[in-house]
Amino acid sequence: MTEPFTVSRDFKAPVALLWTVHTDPAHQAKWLSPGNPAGYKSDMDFRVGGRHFYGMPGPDGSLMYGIQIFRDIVPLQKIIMVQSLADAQGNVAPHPLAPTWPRQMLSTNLYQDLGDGTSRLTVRWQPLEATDAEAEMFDAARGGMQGGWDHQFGQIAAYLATLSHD
Amino acid sequence: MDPLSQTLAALADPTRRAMLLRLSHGDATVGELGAPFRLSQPAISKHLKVLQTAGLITRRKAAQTRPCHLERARLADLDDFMQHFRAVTEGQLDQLATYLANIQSTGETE
Repeated sequence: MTEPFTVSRDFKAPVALLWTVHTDPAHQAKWLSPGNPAGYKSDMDFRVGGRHFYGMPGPDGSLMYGIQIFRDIVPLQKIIMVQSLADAQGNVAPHPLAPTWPRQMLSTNLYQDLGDGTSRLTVRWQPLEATDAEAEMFDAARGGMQGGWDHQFGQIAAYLATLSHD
Repeated sequence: MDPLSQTLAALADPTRRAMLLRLSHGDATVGELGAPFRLSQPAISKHLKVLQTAGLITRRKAAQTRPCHLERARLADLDDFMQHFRAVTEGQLDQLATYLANIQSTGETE
């Protein structure tokens, strides 16, 4: 089994507010799609076994669809879900830029009260039932995602930024 | 494997990343590329082969030394993917932080 990808962030907000804002589609529309909240589409069934089908407006206005299936919900503490990219009909679909990107991602959100009105969100991703190609893709990408590709990759990326993508 | 996965796999190794960085400054021979590393000739060749198979470098046939050349288009594809990825992770967390700050300052918590 491949190593998970983890990202964590502290917020100047009580954990209850973080939880609400992170899980309520009315709030999600506003922070996930700040330029076009009305364009965010959400069909949320927020309970264990329930499904969230959403569409996020891209820069060109077209929607990028995704599905989350909730495996475990511990209010103010934890959500475990299976996350996938989807088509407009809600079927699991490959990543448009990376066809071997894992179709199913076991995603764990941890919500932590840090006291003094601050909180921490930790998101952990682990490919689920991954094919060899998906595991390889995820393993290779993890370094770049985690910023763990040491300084060299940053230098290459900086250099790339000076070139036109033609 | 699709091209993007191949690129990522090739970049997963620090020696190969160092070689690409060297090539981003200009073409180089196998000897020049291998010089900074305490590696055998076959090991150097193996790394170059991985980079070549991934389409990240090509070898010039014209010159006798067959210098290696960085193929920028492949790296640009990877850069697009990484930018996309950062947009959906770091970007979303930034947006969440901004939103949390806004609703608390305006008292609008619904």
